[in-house]
Amino acid sequence: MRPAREKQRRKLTQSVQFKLALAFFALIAALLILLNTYPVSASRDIVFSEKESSMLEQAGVISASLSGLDTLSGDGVAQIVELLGLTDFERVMVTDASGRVLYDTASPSAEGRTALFAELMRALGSERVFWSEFAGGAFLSRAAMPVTRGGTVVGAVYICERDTTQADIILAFRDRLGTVSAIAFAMAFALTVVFTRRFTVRITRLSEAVRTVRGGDYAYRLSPEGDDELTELCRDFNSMTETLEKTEEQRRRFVSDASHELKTPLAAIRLLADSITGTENMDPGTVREFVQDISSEAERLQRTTEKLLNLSRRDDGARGELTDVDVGETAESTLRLLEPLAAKTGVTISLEAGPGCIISAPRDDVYQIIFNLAENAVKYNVPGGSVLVSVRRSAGAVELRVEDTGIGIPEKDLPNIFSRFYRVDKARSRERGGSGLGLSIVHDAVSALGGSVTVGAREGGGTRFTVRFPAGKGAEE
Amino acid sequence: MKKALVFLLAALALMLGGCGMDMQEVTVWRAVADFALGSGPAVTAEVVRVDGALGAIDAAAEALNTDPGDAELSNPLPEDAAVLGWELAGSELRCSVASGYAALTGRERTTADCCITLTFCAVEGVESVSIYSGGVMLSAAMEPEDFILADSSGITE
Repeated sequence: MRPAREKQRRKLTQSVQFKLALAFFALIAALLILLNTYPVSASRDIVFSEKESSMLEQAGVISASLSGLDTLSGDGVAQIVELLGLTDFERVMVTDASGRVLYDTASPSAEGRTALFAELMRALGSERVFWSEFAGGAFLSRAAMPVTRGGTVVGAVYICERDTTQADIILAFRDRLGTVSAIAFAMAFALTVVFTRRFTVRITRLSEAVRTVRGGDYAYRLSPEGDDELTELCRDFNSMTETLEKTEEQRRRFVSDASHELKTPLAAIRLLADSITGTENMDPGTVREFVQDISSEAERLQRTTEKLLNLSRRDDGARGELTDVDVGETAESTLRLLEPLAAKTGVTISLEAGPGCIISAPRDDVYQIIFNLAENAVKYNVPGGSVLVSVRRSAGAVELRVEDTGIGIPEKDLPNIFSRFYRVDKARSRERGGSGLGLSIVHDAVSALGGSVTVGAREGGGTRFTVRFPAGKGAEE
Repeated sequence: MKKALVFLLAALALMLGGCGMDMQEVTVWRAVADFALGSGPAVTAEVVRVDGALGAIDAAAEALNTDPGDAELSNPLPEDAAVLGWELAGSELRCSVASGYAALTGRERTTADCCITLTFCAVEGVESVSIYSGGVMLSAAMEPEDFILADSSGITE
């Protein structure tokens, strides 16, 4: 029971909500302390300043009045002080130069005694003295000033005032500030708890969603609320899971397709081999035919695995060395390799290559792009048909076109034509040795070079592939 | 040789001191130094340790002639105004001071009178103090009640 409680407490103090709330509380507390101390302190300082000027002024008036007397005597001082009508003070005291009290409003019995107040002693030393404190619900202020005659200190005036009026105003102000602060603190506390809770609940939901997706549920989506950074994060999360879902789907399909593609020739090989081994006295001609078929299927397997490896390398980001490649020259040499196949199927191949069609790319990639497109154009053509390969410069790019007069591609198949293992006519493709990977390789290779490949129907029948490569530095405009 | 003798005597004095020479504590009144004067009394009491063999009045006189231990306090009696002796007449203590005392005027004189009066009147049997120098009375008999040390007006409990 105890460890569980400790765990709960640790979790609370380590939570984002706790830390956020703590930061807010600290900020609010600091602001409230400032709000409660600074105005009161500033008001108090203003009163001190005002007291200092007014009390020193009044002490100065008494001092100046007493300076006119020939001798400082109790009666003379009393007459003058009473004439000035100083009734607001708690005490008015006048002493001679030695500190002997000549007049005292607070204690008439003090007359004749000697006062040793610090303020008086300093005044007897020719200083103007003011002291004040705010305590006990009042401003207690004292001022003292020398009485001089002919530049000589002949006595001192001391006045003391207790002011509760201004103190009451400041105390009432402080109390009101305290009440307002308490209410503000309570409201801020409630708002902070609500706000941080609302904020952290969204983070918790996001965290739970991440765990769900990590568990394999790629279809899980969040419902974005509001329009802030967390909302954006939720949208990004949904987009990411959507991509993950698609990738996972593609991966499954790819594995399934690849298995199927590998299984078919393997099954054929096994069937042929079983036929040879299971048939007694098979004539040599049939055996040779079966062995040739086995060889043909093995060759297909080899082509498929080579293309799969090619695609896998591209998926891993492998790239050949970039060199300046003349697409026209590469097309010419590539088409020469396809001449026998074209002659066999009765298809004419022609090339129109402009000058200076140079791109920066791995030479093998350019060859593979041209070969795959041209081979398809020959394979899926009609007897007596033609293939036109053209290369030219076009607005900062090098454009390669492969057009055929073949059977064409139905419009519904065009969006998927570059997908792996996608075939328009599966039976015909397999019959002609197609693996369903050639156009995928073209698409990936062109994308890796920063180019684009599009496919469309050719006017007058057939298909047209257009590849645009970014022009290399050596290209001529 | 002479230096060695002085050193030996100093060491002996220290040893005697360390061996527990009797001391007594005396409360003596001092002037608050000008820079420390704020609000409150201009004089304050300080406890000093003097020879325990001295009588109470001699101990008080000895204490008055020492320098304060607190930097915020000052001795109201300059060197040429030190307490030289005393005579008790009933409850009145006649304090004899050096000639420099007569030169003190104004607040310095008041502070010195106050400190001497409050210090001696703390001794049992002394109720007033008068001050003489060379047989001439400088200050007539003074009692602690003659001095007002603090202003309590305006202060409420």
